[in-house]
Amino acid sequence: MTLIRTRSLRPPTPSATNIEIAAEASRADLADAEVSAAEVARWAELHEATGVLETVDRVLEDVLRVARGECAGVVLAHRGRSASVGATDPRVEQANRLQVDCGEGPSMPLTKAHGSVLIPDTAADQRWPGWSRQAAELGLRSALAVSLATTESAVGSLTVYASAPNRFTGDDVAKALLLARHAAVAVAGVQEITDLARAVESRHLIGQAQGLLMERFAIDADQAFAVLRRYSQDGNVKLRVIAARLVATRSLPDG
Amino acid sequence: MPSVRIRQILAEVMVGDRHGFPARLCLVCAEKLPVSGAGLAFMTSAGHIGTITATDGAAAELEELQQALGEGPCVDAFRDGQPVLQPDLAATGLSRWPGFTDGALEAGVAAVFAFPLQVGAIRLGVLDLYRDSPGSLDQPQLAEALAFTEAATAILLHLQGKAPPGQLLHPRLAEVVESRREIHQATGMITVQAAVDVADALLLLQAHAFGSERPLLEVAKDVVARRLRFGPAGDHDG
Repeated sequence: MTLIRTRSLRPPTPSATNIEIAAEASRADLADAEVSAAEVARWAELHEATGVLETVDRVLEDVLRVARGECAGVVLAHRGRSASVGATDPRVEQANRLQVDCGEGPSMPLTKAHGSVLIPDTAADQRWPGWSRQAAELGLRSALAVSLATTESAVGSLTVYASAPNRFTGDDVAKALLLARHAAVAVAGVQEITDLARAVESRHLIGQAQGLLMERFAIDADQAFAVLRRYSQDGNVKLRVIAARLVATRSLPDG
Repeated sequence: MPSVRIRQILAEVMVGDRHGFPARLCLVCAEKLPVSGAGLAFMTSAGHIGTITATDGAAAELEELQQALGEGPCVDAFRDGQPVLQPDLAATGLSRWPGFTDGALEAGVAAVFAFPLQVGAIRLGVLDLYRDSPGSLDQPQLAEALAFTEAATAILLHLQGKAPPGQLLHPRLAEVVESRREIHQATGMITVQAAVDVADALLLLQAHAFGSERPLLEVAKDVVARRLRFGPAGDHDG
């Protein structure tokens, strides 16, 4: 089997008690990752997904295979907001949502900067004691988080968990980082095009919804837009969603 | 990661005013390939949404026809996520897209090559190339056309990345949809007038434009100005 060996600049040094956020991780922490060519070829399929969620699902499947975790999840940071996405286990969903809600936990700094965090045992962790205690209570004792970041932007972070402590090694960190670089490019790419396609479609749907209101209430396009915006604000629903609903049902909210 | 060729294309196209990038891409593409012209269009599952740019009158007409008729190579390329190659439209196009082929031949289009703009399985629009005489693209030329397609997608994403904060679409892209807003508004109006869904409403509008041999946008403007109505039975008066 062909092995792909990444550049070895320095060995990963996750100590037993300390948590490291490696700043220049994109180079340094990729040391000694050995991933088969077949595995890397599978990662190419990350780019074929039909949307952000499917891309994330594929990333999670891949990371559980290469980093020997039991369950995993992603925190996406998009347009200034973070969200837990695609957790493979309800406990991961809970642990990741706790991080997002409290803004505290190993995944959070990684949504903004390159790097990795290894928590050998959440029951003994001192860095994020509040979150770690709850993760330990959920039965997630080992945690390994890596950033999902391209050279241009941070997309989010990827966290793998195991129920036993001290599960992950430096090798798992290196492999997860290598995968995360591919994953970040795939997620960023699909996010970009989804956003643009959706924005174009929104303009189109808003036009159709305006027409529908113009005819029904004998109003002009500007007045119809104002009606749409009012429905959007009153219901705290995005304009695009209001327009899509109106066009699909041909009836207004509340009949 | 973009290939070397795509980076070269982007370096050649992305100079000067950002608003001119789509037009430059089509011009350079038409120069490098044995084609007469090129056009870029936004598409959604509902069909052709608007021409982003076209190098000349025939390329623009090619786009207008597909928007007006709801059929053509770009519609199929977008739907299937695969290029549609028609090196001799007169020989093969009539059975597939009768209305479009008639109009395209009349506009001087003899061959059409349509490439979907996509990332993974998510599609955004099409790059359409045409020739004024029949003739196909060989393998290296197809590879070049695909590189231009990827570069076109990258340019649209680049523009959108530069959208002012708080704006849904970059102004250069918003104007594409906005310039045809009456088509979308008229479609919405007809859903109420004729009690049909949006797909059928668009078909009614397209059929009327085709029947009266008028541009779709003009007919749509009549509907928005309430000079033309579509009755419940599909009748219309105007």
